[in-house]
Amino acid sequence: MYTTLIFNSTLMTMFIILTAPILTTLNPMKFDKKWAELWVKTAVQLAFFTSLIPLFIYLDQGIETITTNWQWMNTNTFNINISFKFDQYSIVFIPIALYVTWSILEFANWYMHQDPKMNQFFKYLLLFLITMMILVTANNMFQLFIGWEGVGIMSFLLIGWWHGRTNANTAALQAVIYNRVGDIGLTLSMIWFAINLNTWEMQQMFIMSNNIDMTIPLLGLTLAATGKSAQFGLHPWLPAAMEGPTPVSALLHSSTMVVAGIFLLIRLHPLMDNNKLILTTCLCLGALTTLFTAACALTQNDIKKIIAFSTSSQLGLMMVAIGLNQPQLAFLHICTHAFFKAMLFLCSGSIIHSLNDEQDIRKMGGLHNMLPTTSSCTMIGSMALTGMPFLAGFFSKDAIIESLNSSHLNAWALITTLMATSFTAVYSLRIIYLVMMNYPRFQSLSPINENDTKTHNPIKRLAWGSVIAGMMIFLNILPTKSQTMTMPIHMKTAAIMVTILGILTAMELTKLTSTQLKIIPNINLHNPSNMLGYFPNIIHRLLPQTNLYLGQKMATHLTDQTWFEKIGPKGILALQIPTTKMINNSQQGLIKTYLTMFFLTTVLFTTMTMI
Amino acid sequence: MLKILMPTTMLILTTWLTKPAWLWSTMTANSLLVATISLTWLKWDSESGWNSLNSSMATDPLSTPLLILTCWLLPLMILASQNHMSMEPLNRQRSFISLLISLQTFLIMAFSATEIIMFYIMFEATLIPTLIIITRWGNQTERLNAGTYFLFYTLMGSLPLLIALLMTQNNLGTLSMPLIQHLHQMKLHTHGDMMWWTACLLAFLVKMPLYGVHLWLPKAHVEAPIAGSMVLAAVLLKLGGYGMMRLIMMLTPMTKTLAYPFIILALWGIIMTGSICLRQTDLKSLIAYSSVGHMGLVAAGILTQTPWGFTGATVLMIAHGLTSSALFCLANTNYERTHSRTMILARGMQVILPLMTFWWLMMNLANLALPPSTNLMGELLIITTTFNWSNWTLTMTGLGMLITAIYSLHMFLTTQRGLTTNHIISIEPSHTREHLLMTMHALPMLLLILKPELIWGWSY
Repeated sequence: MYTTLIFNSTLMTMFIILTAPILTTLNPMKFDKKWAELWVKTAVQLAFFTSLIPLFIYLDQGIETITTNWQWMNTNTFNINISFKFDQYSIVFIPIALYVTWSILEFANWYMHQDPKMNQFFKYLLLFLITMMILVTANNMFQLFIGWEGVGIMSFLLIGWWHGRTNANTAALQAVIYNRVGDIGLTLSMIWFAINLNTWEMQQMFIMSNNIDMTIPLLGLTLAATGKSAQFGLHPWLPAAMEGPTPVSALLHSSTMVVAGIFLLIRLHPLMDNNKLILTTCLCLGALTTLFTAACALTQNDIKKIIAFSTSSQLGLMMVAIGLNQPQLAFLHICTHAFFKAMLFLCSGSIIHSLNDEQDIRKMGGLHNMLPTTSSCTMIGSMALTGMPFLAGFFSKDAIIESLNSSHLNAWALITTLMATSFTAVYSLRIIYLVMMNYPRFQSLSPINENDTKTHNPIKRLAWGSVIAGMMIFLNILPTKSQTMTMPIHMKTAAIMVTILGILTAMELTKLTSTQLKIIPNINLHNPSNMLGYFPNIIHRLLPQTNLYLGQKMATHLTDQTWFEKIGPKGILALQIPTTKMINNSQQGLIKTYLTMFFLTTVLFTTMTMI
Repeated sequence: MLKILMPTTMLILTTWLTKPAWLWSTMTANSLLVATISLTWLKWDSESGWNSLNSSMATDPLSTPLLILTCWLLPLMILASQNHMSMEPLNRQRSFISLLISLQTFLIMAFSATEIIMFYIMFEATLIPTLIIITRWGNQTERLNAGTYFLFYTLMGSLPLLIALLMTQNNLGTLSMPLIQHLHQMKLHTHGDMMWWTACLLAFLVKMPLYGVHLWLPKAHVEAPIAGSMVLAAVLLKLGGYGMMRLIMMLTPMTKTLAYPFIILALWGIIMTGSICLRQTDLKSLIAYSSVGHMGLVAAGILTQTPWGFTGATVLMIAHGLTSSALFCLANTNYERTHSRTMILARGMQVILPLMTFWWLMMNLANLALPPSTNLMGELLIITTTFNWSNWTLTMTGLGMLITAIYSLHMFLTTQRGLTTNHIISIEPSHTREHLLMTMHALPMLLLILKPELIWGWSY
């Protein structure tokens, strides 16, 4: 009993610790720049250590709880509560998110030190984290929706942080619009749950939904996840979101925001357990996403964009795991991915800062001599990303591909995913090759320096995570779904083989370019990949243009200012004016005529009555 | 009832007797006092649902939130008008305040009337002070046109209502709200009954306004002075929703089929007005059109006639009242500084008035229904009930959600973010009064999140 008490109260304490810095800002005094480190970073750090207690209790005793604290509102038998779900997923995810965020905040302290509004920036980051925590621990749909929209809006503010630049504002708005499309899906499923299951509490939903066809709300949830987790069709906002400062990208791509969509599906997975249609949809959507975005990553030149596309690709892989009916594997991949993706972004931040805000990898090179720590960590991160055995990514990625290999669901999805896996190796190699190897191609007076502890400590901390986190989580989580136990050797090694194949091909191709066998390169394949499949060009022009055109011509000019005016006030006016004029005509003020008329008619009538 | 009504009418006397130097602060304080006392209405303890009964007035869970909103808005209007009235001669200031107070008196009587005919009279009576506010205190010449539109649209809608009410009185023998809900349902099926049905709702649909008869609203909003825009958006539109909910109970059997075109029109209106908002250049007009969209949602919720629909409509009316009033105040702070409503002329204000940006952000987020704001609760309830009515409505409500988010954030981005325009050379810093004004809008919004059941209407 006491363990449960400690379990719940430490988690609540964690929430209180996290909100404390926000409360200090109610103080009207102006804080100096130390506030960011003193309050925000410390709070996250402290919250991380606090959250270890319930983690250990969970690992030791397997406690999972649902805490209902307060009945918020009710309408005729429909209750909305504040209730928290501390289960395997939230208990494991919270410390990871806090650990990653702690490192990112420490890094941001260095990266953003010139920004005049650094405190506000930290406050936003913290709020971003808190909304994600709300989402992760929510036990009912309404609370989840709060977190869901919260991360959306915080990402809007953070992506548009440098709001003097039009691109930043556009990217911010773009993120919200794409997410809002997903929100329609989430709203659909919430409404459907409310009408048909009469509850938004998750455990009740799982029980009630047993014998009901859940296809409609599940499609809604898939749409929601597609928007939030940037799956194919609603993906363009994610690479655009790198307009934000690098710490934002690191946080957004690792432990908050983008994984929220996948997390939603993991959380509500009991609903889709038996629904083949939805599982297949998820599988194919995930496979398509992972291949398409990996292909886009191949030819990008902006270092942050490559990493952003690789996130998208990994999210597709998580979606594949959901489609394979293996939510735990997807969750595992979320956890491991958080470490190395955050680290890759921090490394790119360090590189960008050192090269005087240069993001183009063609203008880098030879950095392994000048930025040794950053370079080694980028190396570790890239290897973890490609699934190098026994690094973090290996445990989750390999497991997903293994179970995909051994399933008989969909050969197309299998091949697509394997191709994407080999592409991962290619673009990772491309970063390493162009950024670190060979000779420098940047200006000679770059302020290269990574000796600040605030730079290399967080990166190193995350590097440790990228090395050991996979194994630690893998060994400690009890799988609930049946796992792949045995398989032929070629299936077991398929993932690593295609990766190696990818690397070898890429090396061969780089040799081709540097020896210039062809004077004029054949770029037919290069173009669609570099232009992101022409997706933004078509969708981002056609749809808004049509919409705005209709808004102007149809809604404003034609309907409002013409038809409604004509039918209503102007039309009545036009009808009235002729009659008014006619009556006016007969009333010309000719008093003699009127009197004569009056006299004549009176005489006429009197004589008529007299006769 | 009289505890509020008497002090409210006495405020007029106070206006004329207060020392000039203390005029605005006294009026703000006194009206705020009245608003505070009105909070006691929130204590419900009656079995029948009707509270504070006297022979012709009462409150119930539906009217209470609207009444309190009305009382709460008067100090806010006085606060907001202070700056642009400061140049006027003293007597005009006093008559302006008296006008606002008389409007408040009529509104209180309208919301608390137990006889439908008294509600009708008060409903019409509010037109007079509002018309004077628009046509006397507006800024441009277009205000006269706006006043005409406002008056005639509303009158064209509400005169049939008078006839319908007289007919009802003839048939039922009563127009008492507490009684009518217990009477037998009328047998309605002739064409005459259909006309009666339409006449009963048309007045309120015009007042809401329903898309199609909304032309008066953007004009009135744009041309009215700030207090006029505030009270229009916050309370006067809600008279429509309130009246509809009161009358729709006696129309029950016909509403089921006759409401179809109106629900569709209301939902279609969300998309159309949203599209108009996307192309608006005029800040106040944008907010006005967004009001039309939101009120369309309210109309759809009421017309579906489900408990969720009614609850959602009540919640959304209150939430939207506070939000849109706050947005008009914000637009006015810009207007008082740049003397233009054109959005593009007041860009990048975050750099100049950073705290105002916070309010802009908050109010825009409330406008796009960010959870857990009460706006979201209302919208979600209404979307649920229309989805239940017909699944395909989700395409319209869903698209509406999307477009609302887009134009709200577009408004935020254009006014606050980006580079400052070159022509802005000197801008007055924001006053404490303005921040107080925004706080007084935000405070009820935030507190209502904690206990939304206060504005839950009949379903509480």
